[in-house]
Amino acid sequence: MTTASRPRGPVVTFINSVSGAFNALGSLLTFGLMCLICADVACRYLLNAPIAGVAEIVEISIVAIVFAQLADATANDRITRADSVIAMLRTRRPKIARSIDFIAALTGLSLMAILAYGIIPAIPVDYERGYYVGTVGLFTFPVWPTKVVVAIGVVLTGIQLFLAALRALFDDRSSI
Amino acid sequence: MSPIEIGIVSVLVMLALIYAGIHVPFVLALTSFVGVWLIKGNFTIATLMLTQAATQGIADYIFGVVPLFVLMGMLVSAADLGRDSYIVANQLLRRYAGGLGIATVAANTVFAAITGVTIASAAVFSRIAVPEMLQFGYNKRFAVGVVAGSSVLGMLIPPSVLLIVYALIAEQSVGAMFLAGIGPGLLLAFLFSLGIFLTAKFFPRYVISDPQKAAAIDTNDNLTGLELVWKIAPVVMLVFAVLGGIYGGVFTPTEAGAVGAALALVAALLKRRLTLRGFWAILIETGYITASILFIVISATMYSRMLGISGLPTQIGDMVRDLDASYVVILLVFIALALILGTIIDSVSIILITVPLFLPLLAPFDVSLVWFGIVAVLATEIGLLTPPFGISCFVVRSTLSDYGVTLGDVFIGAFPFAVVMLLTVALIVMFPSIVLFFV
Amino acid sequence: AETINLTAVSGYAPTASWVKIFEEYFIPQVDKALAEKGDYVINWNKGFSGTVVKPRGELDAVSSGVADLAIVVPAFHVDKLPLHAVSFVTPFATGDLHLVTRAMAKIAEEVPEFTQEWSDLGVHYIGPAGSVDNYEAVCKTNKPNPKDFDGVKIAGAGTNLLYFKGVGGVGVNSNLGDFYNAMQTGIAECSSVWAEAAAGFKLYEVAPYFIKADMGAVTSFAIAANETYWETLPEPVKEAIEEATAGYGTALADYVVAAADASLETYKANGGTIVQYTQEQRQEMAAGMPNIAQEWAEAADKAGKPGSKILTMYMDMLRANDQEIAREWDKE
Ligand code: NA
Ligand code: NA
Repeated sequence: MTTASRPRGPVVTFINSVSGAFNALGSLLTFGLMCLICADVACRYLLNAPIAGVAEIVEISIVAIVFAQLADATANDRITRADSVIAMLRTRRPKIARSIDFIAALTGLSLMAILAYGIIPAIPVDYERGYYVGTVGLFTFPVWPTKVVVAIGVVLTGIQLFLAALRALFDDRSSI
Repeated sequence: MSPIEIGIVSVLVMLALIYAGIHVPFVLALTSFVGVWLIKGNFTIATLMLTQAATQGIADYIFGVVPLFVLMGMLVSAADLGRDSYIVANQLLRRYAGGLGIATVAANTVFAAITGVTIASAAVFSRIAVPEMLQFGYNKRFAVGVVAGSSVLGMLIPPSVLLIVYALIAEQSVGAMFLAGIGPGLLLAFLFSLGIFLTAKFFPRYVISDPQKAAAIDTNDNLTGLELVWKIAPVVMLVFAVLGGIYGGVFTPTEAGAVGAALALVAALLKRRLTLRGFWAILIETGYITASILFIVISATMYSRMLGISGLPTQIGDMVRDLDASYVVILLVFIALALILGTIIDSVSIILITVPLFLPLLAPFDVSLVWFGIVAVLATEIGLLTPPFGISCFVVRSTLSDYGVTLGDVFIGAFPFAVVMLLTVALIVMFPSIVLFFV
Repeated sequence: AETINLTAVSGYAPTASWVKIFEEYFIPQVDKALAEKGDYVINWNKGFSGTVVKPRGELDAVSSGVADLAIVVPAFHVDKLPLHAVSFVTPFATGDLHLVTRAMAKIAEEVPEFTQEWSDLGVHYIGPAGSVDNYEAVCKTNKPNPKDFDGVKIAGAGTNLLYFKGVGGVGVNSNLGDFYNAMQTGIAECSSVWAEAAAGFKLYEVAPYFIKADMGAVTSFAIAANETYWETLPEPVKEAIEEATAGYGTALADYVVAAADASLETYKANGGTIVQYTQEQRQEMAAGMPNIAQEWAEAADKAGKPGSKILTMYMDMLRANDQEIAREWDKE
């Protein structure tokens, strides 16, 4: 959670690079969306032939993008918090600040655990029953791939928050 | 505890945890979870509510283009279009006190004509305006406040997602709503500028913290008229391309994010300001900002669903209905309610919750629903700037994490702008012709 | 009397006809029926206007138990409720919303696989309703002939876009709230709407030509309850809700048909032009389309569901009521 130090250790390095790679995937998707929407606009305006399914692709991509980038955003301390009190505590009462960091990480960790518990069992059901988005005859896309990305993102974010909890518990300088 | 009591307690718990410094989306999501669990007495239902909000809360075209508006902002900034417009704004406005602040408002007014979401304005101008103002000795809180404050113009001046949402539920013409937003938007921009000018003149310390650096503005190189035009040309061309595209029927306001980002990319490449590595860094940064913003939207969705399940909105509606009040009282209650809800939930949710409650209450008084829409949107937008839940301030904070800006700085800096907005609401209520002039 | 808490949801606001009628007819009707017996009182939590779910989220909410009762829009869930799509894949067949609502209720009663789709999701199906008396087109310029739609961009959503395929119309995916803007700026030249919505959204301001091609009525909605919740309800409450649902379908159809007539008048009063297509012109539009009804029925049959059976049942009911059917979807 704190930007003061970032534990190294091979495990942490590995987790961080996986989070980073997943973030990159989200970034590529964003760039892809830009190209897709521009192509749709051009085809519609110039060729009178809009690309089918762009709305659906945008709708499912944005969910995937956010969860793909969540773990890395968490690792880089980019989740919004009211940080004026904690910034003051960090210099004057570092122990209290660390307890708040610890509670915050646990709060996030339990949230990710609930989400994983809710989403992962739904994936095989979506797959077996063949649930999809879109309109038959125009464009359809299965529901499960997005949920897989969400699940991976949630698990990775959970791991990052677990590491953050350890850091808050065992002081910033510790490493695993 | 009754569901309503659980709803009320959850609001209090949420406020306490957010103020204590627990991350905003974690607090919103987890209090919603516990709230639904208690109300329904069922762990599985609470889990499914959370899961559904996570996978569906932002599965919408309008949210899909948020990263593109953010990317556009980053690219505009990378192409140095921001710096260029500030050099121009500086030269044009430096003889006025607080010139760069006024320039931020002016630039935001222009940008509002190409964006439909406030968070895009906040993200773009955090990158462009704040570094410039800091460089020239402006007060940090003022710099972030003016960006957060003027970002509200993005959803008042058309195109606007919020006006579309209102038009949708009040069954008003989107076109009329858009025209109605122009007058109040320009008025608000003028009042912001006037406020900055007067503050800089009479209480300069609130605007400029390092007068020496500020003085350096005047000694900067003077550009000729032609150089000024050359510097501002790319920005103007971008705005015209996007506006022309929207009003010429080439693309929709939501699609403008993608087209604008692509055009900004071209501009950056033409100006030779962008390397492949730099572009990659921009994409990654866009990712952080997007994740941070939309994760809050997701958790806000969970939170308003929990409130909905608790029945609190229905209860508030019944209470207002039972008041059996006069027109002015109803309007005041509406504005007060929008302000109160604005402290804790997002603006789209506020419009969705409050407007349907008040439309039947206003029906007997034969008021213009176009006018009421502008009052509603403006009153709701004040909530973008008020703690503890103020999306515009969150965006400014998360965009500027490397400038040592705290969330508190942004909220304090934005407060005067919220006051000016409230003043504008009062003006619009007293003089409805401000709204109906263009309609 | 015993109090029962009930959270009813729709992502839409009471300004939408189906929520308005739910609030003004359904709820009072249930309350009245229960008050007569005096044993139970329902404490309604009205989760409308997106406070509990957004549009499209109603099915998941009632399936998970987040909502107890919901106005579900099955057209959004063709993957989960394929059999419900029968009125959408049979355009140009009837403009009688009352009949379509009755037909759907009859199918639900007689075909167990139909309600089984809902039970599979943990949802108890109660009954159908519709808010579209007839899909029509509104355009910026006149389209006196179906051929005039060739190459014209038409804003619409989902299956409706296919209705113009036969005459070369180009579907542009959009939504009701964006139609005005899309046509004003020129993103699209026409929109696929029904009369009540066309006047409600003041589309006459930008698209003064109301092309009455009468593409058909559809059952857009279903009243459904969470199965676990439904089982806990006492018999008299179930009965009151079932009766109110049957009445709701009729009341909504009454309202929409009356509003449609008024909307056409509004259109004319605001300088709009109503262009009524002849049966031959409707046949021309329908004939050019792929047979989406057969495609739909075959896909359902292949999945082990009685698609063809329902298609025939539905069309038979329209024929038995002398509807102006522009294409015999089931007999090709
Ligand atoms: Na705008
Ligand atoms: Na606020």
